[in-house]
Amino acid sequence: MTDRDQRLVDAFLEDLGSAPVPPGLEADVARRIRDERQQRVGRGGAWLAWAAVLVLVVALAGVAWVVAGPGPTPVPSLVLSPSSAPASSAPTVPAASATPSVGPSASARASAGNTSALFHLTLASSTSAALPAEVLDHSGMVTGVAEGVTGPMNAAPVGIGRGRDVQSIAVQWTGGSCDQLAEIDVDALASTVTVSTATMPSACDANGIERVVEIRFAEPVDVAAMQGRVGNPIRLDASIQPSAVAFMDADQGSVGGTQGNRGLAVVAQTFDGGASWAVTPLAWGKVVGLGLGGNDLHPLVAVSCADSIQGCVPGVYTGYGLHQWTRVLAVDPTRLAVDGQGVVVIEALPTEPTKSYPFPPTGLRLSEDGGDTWSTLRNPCPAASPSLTGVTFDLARELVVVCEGEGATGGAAKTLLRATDPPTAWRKIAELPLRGTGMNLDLSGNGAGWLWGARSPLMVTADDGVTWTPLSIVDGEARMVVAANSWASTGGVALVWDPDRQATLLLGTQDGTTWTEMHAFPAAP
Amino acid sequence: MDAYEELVTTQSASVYRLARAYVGDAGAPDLAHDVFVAAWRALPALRDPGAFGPWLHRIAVNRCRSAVRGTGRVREIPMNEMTADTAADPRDGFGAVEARAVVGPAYRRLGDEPRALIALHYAAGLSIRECADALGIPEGTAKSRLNAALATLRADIGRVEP
Repeated sequence: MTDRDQRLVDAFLEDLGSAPVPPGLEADVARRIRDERQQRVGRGGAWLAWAAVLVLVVALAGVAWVVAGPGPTPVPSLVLSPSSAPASSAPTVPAASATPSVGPSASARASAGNTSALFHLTLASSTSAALPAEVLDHSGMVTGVAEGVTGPMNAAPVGIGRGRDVQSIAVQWTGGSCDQLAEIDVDALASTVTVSTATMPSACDANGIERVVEIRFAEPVDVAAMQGRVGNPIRLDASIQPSAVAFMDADQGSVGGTQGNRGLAVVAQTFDGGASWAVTPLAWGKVVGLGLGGNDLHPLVAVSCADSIQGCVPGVYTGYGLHQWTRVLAVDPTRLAVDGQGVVVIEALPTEPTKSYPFPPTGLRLSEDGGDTWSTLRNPCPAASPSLTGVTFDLARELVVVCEGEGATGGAAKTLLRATDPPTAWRKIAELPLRGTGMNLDLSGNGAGWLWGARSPLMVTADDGVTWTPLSIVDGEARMVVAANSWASTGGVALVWDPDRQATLLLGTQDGTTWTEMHAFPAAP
Repeated sequence: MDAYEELVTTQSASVYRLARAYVGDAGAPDLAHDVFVAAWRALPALRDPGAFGPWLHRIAVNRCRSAVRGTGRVREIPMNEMTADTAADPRDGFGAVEARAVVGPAYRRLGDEPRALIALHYAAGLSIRECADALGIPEGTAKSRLNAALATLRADIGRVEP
């Protein structure tokens, strides 16, 4: 490199840092934010600024058509309740209060669809502006979505923008020997949203394939009434089976799990310590890991197909404010850990959807840019404990893994390893003389952390993983930790299966010793 | 002026220069504007108010990356096509325009992270520690990768793109 080149580089770098800010930038930003703030106040929403989303999920189980066939229309039924409440099959009509607000996310689920109107929503006040909303396909089986047509449709999602009045959206479902048409009429002038399906011949066997479509409003919508009218109950599905958890503090966090018999991966988000939840569907599959990271602490969700769920697409998904899910890593994951821009996944072998995969997983995938790009790390486990079962980042953002030996009874050798930075070498932290199997861990900082697994109590360390002592909230046999996440040196949450109540409990602690029940997720009937 | 507007004022130069390092003079105001609005919307997710700076710059880098990938609202304009003052640097005879024309292509050929490190450190004026926080990597890693990025930049000057 010549002196001239060096001086050019210096001049280039100096130029980068010396540009004056154009006049008006700050004023423009302030004006825009004031406008948005006023819009939100005007709509009367008490919600947090970014969480204004309404999600309607309509899942149609085709098998029920065959079972039920055409017949008299049952009593209209719609159950609106927090996602945790037990689902009721009793006919009810809905809307909880005089002027109920639709939360950031609400889901409606139909178990049969041989009828006309599925869902009808009336807004609290009339508006002359169209509702900004979009329709998305979560099932991967919607063959077409288009505005105002009932014939062949395009496959792209449709946005309902401002400045329009009446929108009619048709959704073509696939599966079985007949397709089904669902129409979603969004009439902002009349302040109504209607989801309906065409009557189908009973011969149309959908082979049990559920179809899911989502209507999502970008801004708060106050709802005066919601009514469902459908062959069988349409309801907010309450049967979330949680399997992963990540909290930012005592109030804000998410639980990942599956919903329904077939296994729809969902993320339930709370902003009030578990008192209320907004549930958003993600993809078919089982949530095996959940973290908050990236540039703006958006959720990263690991979805596994190890349970051979039909239509499952394994991988790591991200969702900015739960608005849109994007698959950023196409492997079948078994664990996921997130710390800022750092994301690490324990992977099973590369797979095809709907198949089961070998155990143990083969290695680690690491991203240092929030999931944009990935590198592969070999399995660092020693021969005596060759299976990677747990992974986390420590306070210095170094990788720490749990390695286990063979044996599902819980007596196998377990080793904790810490990686160098960059992770080219590993050193042993400790051999763990612990019961339990399928161990996972979370290190929060100041040397504190948790370790858990099947047949193991929740273990806590104060010395960066060298020694561990049990906590009393689980016995490790019947009452077991499903997942845990610490958001401070002593504070955190744990999902604990309670066999007596047949429910998974979300427990929280501030000091690591006193635990309170934040929520209970009843087991599916 | 509310608290967030004050933050915008204190961070505007840094965010604007970061955006300019990615998309040039023409696109930088819009991109910086987008960054501040996106950060305002995401404020409830900020766990530690004291970490606002690194957090804001994480969002900014992410938006800038989207812009240069063509997925954002603002698209990249190569730096050597930017309009700029043509005044020569009195010390060494190299003006900004010539530097951009010669070094700009090599800068754009850098990978995501090297480019982000240079933009955060030299354009946004962040310290190595702050760069590391913004990118979510250890400080030592940020330092070594920034040095590597500069070495790549110097070595790559003048290479003709295929």
